[in-house]
Amino acid sequence: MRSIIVLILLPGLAAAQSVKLPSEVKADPGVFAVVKSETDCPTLRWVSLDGGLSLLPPELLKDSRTAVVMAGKPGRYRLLAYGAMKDAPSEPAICTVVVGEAPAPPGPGPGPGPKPDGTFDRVLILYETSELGRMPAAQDAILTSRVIHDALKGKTLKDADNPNGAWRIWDKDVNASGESKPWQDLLARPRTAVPWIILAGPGGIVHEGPLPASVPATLDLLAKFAPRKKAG
Amino acid sequence: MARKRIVNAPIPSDRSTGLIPRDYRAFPPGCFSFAPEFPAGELIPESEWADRLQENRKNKAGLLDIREANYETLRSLDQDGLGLCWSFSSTKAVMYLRALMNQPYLRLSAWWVAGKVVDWRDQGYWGSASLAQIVKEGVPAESYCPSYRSSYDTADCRANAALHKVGEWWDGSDDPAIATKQMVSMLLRRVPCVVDLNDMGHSMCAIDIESLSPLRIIYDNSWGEGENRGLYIGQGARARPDGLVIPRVTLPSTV
Repeated sequence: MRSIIVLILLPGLAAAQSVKLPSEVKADPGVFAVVKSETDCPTLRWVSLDGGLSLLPPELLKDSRTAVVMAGKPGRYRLLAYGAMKDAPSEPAICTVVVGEAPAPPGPGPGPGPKPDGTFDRVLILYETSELGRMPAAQDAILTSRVIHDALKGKTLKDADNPNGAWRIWDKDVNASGESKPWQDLLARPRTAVPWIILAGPGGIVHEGPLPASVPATLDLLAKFAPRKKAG
Repeated sequence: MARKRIVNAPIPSDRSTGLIPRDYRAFPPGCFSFAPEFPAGELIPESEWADRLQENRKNKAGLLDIREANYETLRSLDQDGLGLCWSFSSTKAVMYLRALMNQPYLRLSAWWVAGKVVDWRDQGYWGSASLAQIVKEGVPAESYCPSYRSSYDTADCRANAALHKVGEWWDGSDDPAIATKQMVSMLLRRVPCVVDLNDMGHSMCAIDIESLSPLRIIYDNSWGEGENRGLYIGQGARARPDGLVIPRVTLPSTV
């Protein structure tokens, strides 16, 4: 009987290849940083997704499951890794290497226009009025939660069109012709579901997807992409 | 054979002020072309009411919380002794819808809505009549029509009103027991309700639930702030709508 159980489990074990990376690694400009993986794959491949982050050639390392990277300028750089066991590839994993005190996007030199930095200053939540009755209560509560409203108010742009913060919660079919163009543009974006949430920053969309399932989960999402307060 | 749908009700021959009970024999639920009957599938089972109310309170998600957070905009309107409550109730409901959408703060003019419906007379009516006007021509910002004077009805005022139309609404039941369940279901989902109470001869905007047993409804009244910051708590017959309409979606606009 025991051998039968082992035989049943073995294929599952063989297919358990995975790669885990820390979500963030901090580093100083011009200084090597080490990114360690947790994996059952014997070797890994690494890809720097953003210009400005250099990878030490893996053949120079004893173990390719660790990467050594360096960036000369402060910023946030994404590093992807994947591996394989036998013929089965792993899912890719991504780590963000945060270089310096004031993370800035990689890219060309300074310019007058806004640059995407992965944070939002405008939020649009869309729902379908006729489907409110079928939304779970915990998710439905997001739409009118004062906790959410306060968080949005504190984290979004305030200007003449958005005196209470640049956030809106709309039925997906509203006629927004009386609204300013940024809102019309966000409303026009393709969606694959409702309810839906879009976080937009000066440089573009930083997140869009199904609305989280609860108030705490939505607060987590906002915190993940929220603008960082400047020190001092 | 499809029932003929009435576009709007004529001005009541009853010239009294305040709430005139809706004549449901002449104007049954769903008779208005712009207001389908409340769908039975939208009722929240009574077995879920307590949990829903608790969830709202935990998340500070009730309309009373919204009112507190937007108090300068949502403090009570004041009908100034005129018998136009039926216009103030629905106008206030639209203001709540705007607050929920986070449209820029705006106090809206129930004066204009009433004036357009009853030709600037001090005339009673029922809540759905004013909502019909808001569906058709909208409601302007209070700054365009700050009191009950027809001279404020200018082209600019009408253009501003058109920015604030209500696009979707439901017509509640003529059976107060069913209408109560519809109202509670909507309040648990934080949708403001326009409620006519024949017992008081008054129409108000229901915004929240103080308690379920006994049922006590929190209304945003239109007699100024006065006592209780302009809120009225209704119980018994005053927690059972004799007339109920529910605006659902209003146009978003910045002005």
